[in-house]
Amino acid sequence: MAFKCLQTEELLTAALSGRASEAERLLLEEHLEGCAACRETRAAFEPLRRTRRWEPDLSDAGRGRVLRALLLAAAAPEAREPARSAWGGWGTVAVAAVFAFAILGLFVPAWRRAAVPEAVVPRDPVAAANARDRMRPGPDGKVTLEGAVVELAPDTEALWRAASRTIELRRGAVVVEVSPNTLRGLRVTTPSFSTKVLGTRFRVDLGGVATESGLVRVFAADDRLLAEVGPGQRWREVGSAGPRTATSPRPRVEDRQREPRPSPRSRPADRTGRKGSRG
Amino acid sequence: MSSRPESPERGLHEPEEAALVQACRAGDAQALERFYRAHVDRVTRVIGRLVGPTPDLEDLVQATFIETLHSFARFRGEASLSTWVIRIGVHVARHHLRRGVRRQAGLGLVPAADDATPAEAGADARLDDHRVAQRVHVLLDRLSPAKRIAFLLYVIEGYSVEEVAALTGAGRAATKSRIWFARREVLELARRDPLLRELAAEDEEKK
Repeated sequence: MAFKCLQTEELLTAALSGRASEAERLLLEEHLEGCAACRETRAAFEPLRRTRRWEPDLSDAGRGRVLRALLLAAAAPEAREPARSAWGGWGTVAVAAVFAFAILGLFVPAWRRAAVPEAVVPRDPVAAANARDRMRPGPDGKVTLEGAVVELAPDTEALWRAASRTIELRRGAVVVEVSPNTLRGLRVTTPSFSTKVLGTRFRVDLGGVATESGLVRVFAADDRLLAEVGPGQRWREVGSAGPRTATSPRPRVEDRQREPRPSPRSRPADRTGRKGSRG
Repeated sequence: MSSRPESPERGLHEPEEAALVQACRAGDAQALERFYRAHVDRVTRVIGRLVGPTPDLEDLVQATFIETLHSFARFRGEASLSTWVIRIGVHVARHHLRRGVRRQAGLGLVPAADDATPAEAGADARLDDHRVAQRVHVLLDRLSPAKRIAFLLYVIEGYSVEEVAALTGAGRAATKSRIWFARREVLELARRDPLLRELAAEDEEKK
């Protein structure tokens, strides 16, 4: 069988992913010995071969954290099987479309009058990544984000970074409810610690975190995991009696500790995170 | 090395798998733990290889398993449980890539192809598999998520075109075309990349 250089890429791919037969491999090797151009192609495949050898893995602690989050999410029945309308997606889309057209019809004249946009979207990608908006709650004191609702306590100052889905809390407190149906996590940062969540409801002020449902991870400024706060648990910094201003002296990481409640990690009985333990 | 993945078309033959799904649907913690432990390695490996080295890997694995919780009710047993979980993992990875998250770590270690020379790249630098994977994924960031995922599932994970199509929900022809174009682009980028070229030269010298 005559070998054509055009076959090289296909056969190298097959050999790389383990699909090539012994005969095909021999044919390929024989051709590569005499064809410099195809040897160059093989060299370009080398990084892919090494990439295939790379085995991504989680640490034992990471596996444990994911398992705990799964079990906690399972303990909330509404998170397990979200209600789906008998009309299915299309019914919802149709109703939404009718409303959208109706609202558009009502507001287009006013929209045209308001020619000056409230915020200019920066075009520079770096600027876009760093862009942040002051969170302004509606009359109900809430801000709705994609996959999350944030309730701001009175006199709270918080900024929203859409690119990294981060709330920068500068003053006051926020109650965050992240939908269990979203695939996008959310971070809340304060001057001294940050939290990372997925599918949970919790409260953050400058002194600590209280979780109502789900699992909240608290990190130090250097991204070191400080605590995992499960349902009904609270984590506060030592000496923090309540909300402080952002101008308070930054506490040292070593000074922090959990409140008397033990962490989920040290309480195997909590691993199931049963609903009864929710606050 | 990873073994050949099973066919996603395999049906749900094992009754214990059906029982496990049923128990997971009911929120049985033991069943969920068994399900999790059976699939976490594979899910981690596939997602990790699709998105590349990232600090978000744990979040993505978690999102995959949380998503399975929501989806147990829709599991019909047409594919094996393992394939079904991987399909959800592929969806989560695609979602992550579509968000346009670019890797931060690694860009500092390996300069971009356009502004580096082999000398600057450091002739003494030893690129282990992790760093090579990191570099390859920097190049893969230039591909669309659909092409990248089809290509990696086919070439790195070893799925067939039909299996990739089933995992990504795309047609066979579209999948084949994505793999072909992605391979062209990746090889072209790899040929031009100074660090990978240097690596290839080192390997050639060893032979």
